[in-house]
Amino acid sequence: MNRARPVETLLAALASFTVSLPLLTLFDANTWVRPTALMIAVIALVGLGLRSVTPTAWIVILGQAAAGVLAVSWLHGRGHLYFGVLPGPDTVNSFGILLGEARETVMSYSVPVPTERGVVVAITMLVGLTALVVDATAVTLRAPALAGLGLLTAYLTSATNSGDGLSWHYFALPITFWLALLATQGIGTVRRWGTAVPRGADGGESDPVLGVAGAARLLGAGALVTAIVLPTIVPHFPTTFVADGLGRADNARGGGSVTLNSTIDLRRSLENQSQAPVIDYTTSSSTPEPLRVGILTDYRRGEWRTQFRADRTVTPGPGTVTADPDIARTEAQFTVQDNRLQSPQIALPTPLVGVELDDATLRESFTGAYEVDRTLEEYSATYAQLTPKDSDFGTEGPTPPGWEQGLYSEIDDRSVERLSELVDSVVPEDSTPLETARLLQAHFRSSQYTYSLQLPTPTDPVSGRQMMADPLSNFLISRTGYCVQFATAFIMAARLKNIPARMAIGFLPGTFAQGVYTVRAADAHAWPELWFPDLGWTRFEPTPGSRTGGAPSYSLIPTETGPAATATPTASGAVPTPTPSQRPDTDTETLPDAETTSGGPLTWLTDNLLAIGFVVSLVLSLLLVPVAAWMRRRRLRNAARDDAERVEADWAALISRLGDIGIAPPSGSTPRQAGTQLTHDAILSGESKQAMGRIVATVERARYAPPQASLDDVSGDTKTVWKAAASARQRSDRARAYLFPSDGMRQWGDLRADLARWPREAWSRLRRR
Amino acid sequence: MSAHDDLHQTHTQPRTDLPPRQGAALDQVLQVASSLQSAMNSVIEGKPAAVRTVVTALLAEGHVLIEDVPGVGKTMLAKTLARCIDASVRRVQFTPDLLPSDITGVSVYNQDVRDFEFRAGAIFANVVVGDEINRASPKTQSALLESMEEAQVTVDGTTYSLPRPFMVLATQNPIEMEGTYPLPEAQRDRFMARISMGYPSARSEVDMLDQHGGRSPLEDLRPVTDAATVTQMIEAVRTVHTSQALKQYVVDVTQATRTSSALRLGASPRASLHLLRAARAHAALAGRDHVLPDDVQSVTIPVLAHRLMLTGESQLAHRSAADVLTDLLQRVRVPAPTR
Repeated sequence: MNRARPVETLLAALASFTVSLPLLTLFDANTWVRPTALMIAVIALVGLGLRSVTPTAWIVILGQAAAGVLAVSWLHGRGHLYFGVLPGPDTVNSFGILLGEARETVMSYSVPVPTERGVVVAITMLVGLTALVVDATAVTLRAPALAGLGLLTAYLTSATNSGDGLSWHYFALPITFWLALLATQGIGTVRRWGTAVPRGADGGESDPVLGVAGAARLLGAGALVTAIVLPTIVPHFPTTFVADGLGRADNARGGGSVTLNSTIDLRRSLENQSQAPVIDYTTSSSTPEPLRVGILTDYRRGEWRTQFRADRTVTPGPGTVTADPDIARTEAQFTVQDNRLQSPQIALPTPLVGVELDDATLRESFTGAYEVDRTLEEYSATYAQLTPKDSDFGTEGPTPPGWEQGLYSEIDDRSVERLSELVDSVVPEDSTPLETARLLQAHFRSSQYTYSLQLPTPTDPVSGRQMMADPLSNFLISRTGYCVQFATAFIMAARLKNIPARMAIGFLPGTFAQGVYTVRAADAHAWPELWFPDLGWTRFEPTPGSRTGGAPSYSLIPTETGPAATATPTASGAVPTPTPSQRPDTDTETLPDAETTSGGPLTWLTDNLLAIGFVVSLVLSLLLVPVAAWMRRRRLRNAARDDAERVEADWAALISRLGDIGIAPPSGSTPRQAGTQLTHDAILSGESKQAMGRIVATVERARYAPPQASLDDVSGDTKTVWKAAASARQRSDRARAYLFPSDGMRQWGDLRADLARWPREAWSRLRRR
Repeated sequence: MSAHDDLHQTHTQPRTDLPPRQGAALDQVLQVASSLQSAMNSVIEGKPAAVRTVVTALLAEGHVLIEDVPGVGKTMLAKTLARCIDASVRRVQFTPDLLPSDITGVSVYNQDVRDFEFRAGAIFANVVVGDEINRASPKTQSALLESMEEAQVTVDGTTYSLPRPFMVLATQNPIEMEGTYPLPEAQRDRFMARISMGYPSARSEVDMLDQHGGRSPLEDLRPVTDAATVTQMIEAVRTVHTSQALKQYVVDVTQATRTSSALRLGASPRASLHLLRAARAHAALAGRDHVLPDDVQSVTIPVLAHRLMLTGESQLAHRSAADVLTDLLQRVRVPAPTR
């Protein structure tokens, strides 16, 4: 037998490589494949070489790890090495920077992530680590079953991050290699057993309950049934909601982003064919508003993000509407009947006047975006529908918070040239902000633009070649896109004209049926909000009407002399919806905070009910066998009709328990021989040895002495012996003896046999009758 | 084996709850038998197991066949036992011309009383030492064996009981087969136990040369007990308790010999009886009032081995009956009381 185990090494390396292939779906370029393949090869070859030299496992593993570090350094750390060869602190520093970059990239981009240098380094290291773990467990330590864990971890890392279902090929390949690995090792193990393995004289299996083969068959059948039944009874997991993708829903970090490239998550939401409702709601308004989920303020390198966390607890009231009190308004009621949007996200119409959230806490960010601390099934809100006149869009007044810091004015440099061309051609030089917004909206909603989820790659008009520009420029050239592109272009154009603008994301009002509005994943939407001093943040709708329906009436260019903005909100489909929002005063902040966060231990319990239930059932299932064993021993002891039978029960229990820790008397031995053997094997001495002697003497007298002899109670002595014997064993043996006593298995086996016998007996009784 | 000894020692108060008379009788057995053994051991150097078997057979009312090469002390063992018991002892040297009537006795006509008168044969004694039993003719052997079995002799229609206790110690030489009539297997069955003396260890042999160099130690030997006491002891041994589980075990062991593939002939029901009686005596010798499976196991080989016939294959494999029995004992489960 070759100690280096080349076949198994090859299989382990192939398994490691194929398990990293799902990463292809996560990154936009495949530059990482070659270094990772090289890395896996290095680890496999070094392992092969070291194994043929030394049988000591840890030397092999250390050698592989060292080779892996060297390989990574040579691949990615050139220029930071001592003498161009050895890695040093400088190398570690450079890798730290690279990995930081990688982390930043992975955190901020959605799939597929651009394959930067740092990302390649990170992938190489992680795949190398996977390969090392798989090789060490499967080949060096000869536990290929355990290697499955490493492979599964690597696979799941890819699978859970892809957001989409992975093709089954990605799973089939590594699993095939892993099974081959198992088989190779298994065959090798069987061969090492040698030939003549005598069976016991009785030929059968010694385990009275099931036997190894029986247990394996039962396990296999159970796994098969579970694999078939489970997917059929789990109906349809909730869809990946728009906002999950948009904000990447990372509550812990609060950062969120949406990219404007061709594969953003919002598109995935929009393309979602699922009919599963996200939100069912009723509203008193006949012209419902889009529901806002989040606000994004910063646009950088083709992606939207926000830097603000919702960190202040608020209770919205009439005072939170910042619009001038003179502006005409109606209050509308909004009631959600069924909400599947996961916390912290919550869909609400704006501006809020009041909200009813049960016991959940509403938090607000600096920008006025809302979050909740737990997912609510039902909630309701009151909001204001403003109907401003043209005169309400004044230019004098407060600026939005953060404006001085340049929060709502940033523009992507790469597209600024193309954008100003457009703005100059659409908006006259001396337009007011309202006119600017109206003109821009009319421009984007015109027939020059096409609404499409497929973003074409623009071609250069001169050379006819495909050209890659930044996403916004792409949109301005191709004039094709969906809400994100339209909103982005509108916001950038507004910012160019010095109007504060930001992106809101959420849902369109949804479809109306039988008094209920139903919002689905495909209703995901993004729209711009512009700041007007008297109104606050005001919604505009540059996305074409084929998708969004009518734009708010105040945003339309008045056709005749009549002021369109004076139209009553119910008269037309176009509804004025200014959406001012402002953060509450700081002094109102503390009170509701104290009120709403006083959940106490009871809330904690209810919140973690599932986890607690899982832990409790886990503990209970662990206790199943020990409790059965305890019950069996107790039952046998209580069923004893006299001293002799009680002593027998104690003796049988002792033998069985000692058997659990691997101490068993030879078959066909007398009590005395058994006692001698057990004393020797369990290394009993002193008190426990004498206890064993007393037990044996009592058992002998119980069995063979004249019946009138009275017998001592040996339960104390059996406890002494058991404790002494158990304390001399390894902890793992003890744990196994306590958790899976054979008495317990036998008890369950009896139960199974009884259950199997019951129908037959019932049937025969029935026939006799 | 120290653990084993300790286990024995922990069990030193076995008979506190017995009827006092049985307890006293068993105490006497223990006491007399141990002094008997130590007396015999002083003559037969280094063979305590053989001595123990002989005493066991004596208490179990069995006869012993001592089978070994010449000069290892077969006759010495028999004579020692006879000397230690103050009882009538006869020694018969079996030869081809020995007649059955020499064994059983003969009716001769007494001129004075004008009637036939019974002259008792060699067998009318408490201990009969039959030397080289295989040299006698089958007819004479049969006469001996019949009287051994029935403990009585019938001559000319009159039945004469043999004295109690009655024990035959026969020796046999398995080497010099010329002109001998080996005991058939059926006849061997009559003996409760067979002992092979075996050569003494070098040290024991040196000791023996020391002691036996001057004069025979037999001459110094004083009887430690008498026939009446032995009879009482035999009675006491009969009271030793054998549980149902133990009887089952004895039967299991003998049945295992019948079904074993290594044996052509297994143990007879008489063997079961002998095994149980020997085990009882063995338990009494250990000072116990009940028999343990361990007792059965200790006496199984001397009691059963000479009755078994090995198959040709076992013989070719150089297995002895003792080997086969050792295997069987490991396989036969010790029955626990079932409910």
